[in-house]
Amino acid sequence: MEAVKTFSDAELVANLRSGKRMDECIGAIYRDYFDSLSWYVMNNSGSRQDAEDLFQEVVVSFIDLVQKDKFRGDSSVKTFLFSLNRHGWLNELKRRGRALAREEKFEKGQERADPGAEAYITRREERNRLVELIGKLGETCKKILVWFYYEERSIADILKSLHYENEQVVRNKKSKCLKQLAVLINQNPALKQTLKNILNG
Amino acid sequence: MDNSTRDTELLVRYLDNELAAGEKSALEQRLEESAALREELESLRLAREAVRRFGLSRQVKTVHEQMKKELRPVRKMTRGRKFARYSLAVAASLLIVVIGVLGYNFYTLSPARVYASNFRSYELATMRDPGAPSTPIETAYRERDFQKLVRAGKDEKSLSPREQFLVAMAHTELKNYSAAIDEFKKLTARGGESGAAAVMPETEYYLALVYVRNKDYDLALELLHKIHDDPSHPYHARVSGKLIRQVKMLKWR
Repeated sequence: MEAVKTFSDAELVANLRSGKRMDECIGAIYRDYFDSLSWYVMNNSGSRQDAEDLFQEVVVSFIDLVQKDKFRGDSSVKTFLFSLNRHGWLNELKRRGRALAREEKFEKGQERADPGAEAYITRREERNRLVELIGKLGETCKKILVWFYYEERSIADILKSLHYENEQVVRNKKSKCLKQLAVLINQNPALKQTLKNILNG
Repeated sequence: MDNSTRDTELLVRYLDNELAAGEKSALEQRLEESAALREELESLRLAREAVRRFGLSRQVKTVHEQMKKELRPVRKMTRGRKFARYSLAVAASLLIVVIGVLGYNFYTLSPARVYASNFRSYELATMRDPGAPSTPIETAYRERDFQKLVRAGKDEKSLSPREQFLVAMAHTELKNYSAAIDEFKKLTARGGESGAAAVMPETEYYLALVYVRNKDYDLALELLHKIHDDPSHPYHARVSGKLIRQVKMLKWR
């Protein structure tokens, strides 16, 4: 049986910031925090599916904040994730018109781990819309953009995988794909605003 | 390639930090002058952010699917389960408190403590006949001169049951418990004599207490049960169930 790796807060943040051992780190976050964060959602009018969706988004937001150097480490990773989870779920309840008076009261008395951090939590509809828009680009565009901008692979490396004539063709294709996505985002004001919030924090 | 496509490529290269210094400063100059160009750059930047977010979400989703198999489902707590859990917690807390109190009492219980918390000096006035002259023994008791009383008791050839009771009480006050027990027992043996019945209830009560103090628990319990089970006994109210339990606990230790 493979040994399960655990990380200290400092190790976790350092790995996520550098993009190293990402799968191991995400797995460690799940093992350490999924049960307790899901428990909160499921015991405040949420379903198992709600808890899983929110947890995924909490992890995404946390990694994004770490990589943008916006996680200052003023609080522990645990406290920060709980804060993101709580705010994300309360916002979702409000959106559904089922805000719990007790929770709102509780909320007022709480000190936030990072004021405004909940702005990084995107709603399920917006996440689905983003997947849908990127899907519209076509498989090749999606691969080029994700490989270059997320996986940070070089153009030369991408050229080997896609068998284009030369690197310039790949560059032109990449620019075209990015422009196409920008147009699609401009046609979706809600998603555009969410991305602005994420980008500008 | 038209101008619009050329500008897009330039802006993308700018975002990717691939422009040479000259190209970069020229583009920045144009960006200052053109709102449309700035708007396009912002749109491309948002598109790049969208790709990064999408890539990260996809990676997390992949791990999520793997972890779903590994992690057990979180059980949702129903209202009934919540109530049961809280009730159990309250009951457990109370049990711990009760056990703690009982344990503390058991640990700190001693014959001296039980004796001291139940012993009250005997009030002589309650047994005197109005107008009757005081004997030296009664006078000594009233003056709480117990040494003198014990000496007077030894000198006296024939003690009345009431005087013998006072001698026993004097030994009790002087903490001579064995001597007190002897005097109380002599008095008990005189049960049929005139005047003995009048002091028998207090004799039984104080003898029981002195037995406790002297660690003669079986003898003490016999008398305490007798008093406790008889509602007409003048000392019935003083012998509580708690006192009997304490003596039993002392016996078990």
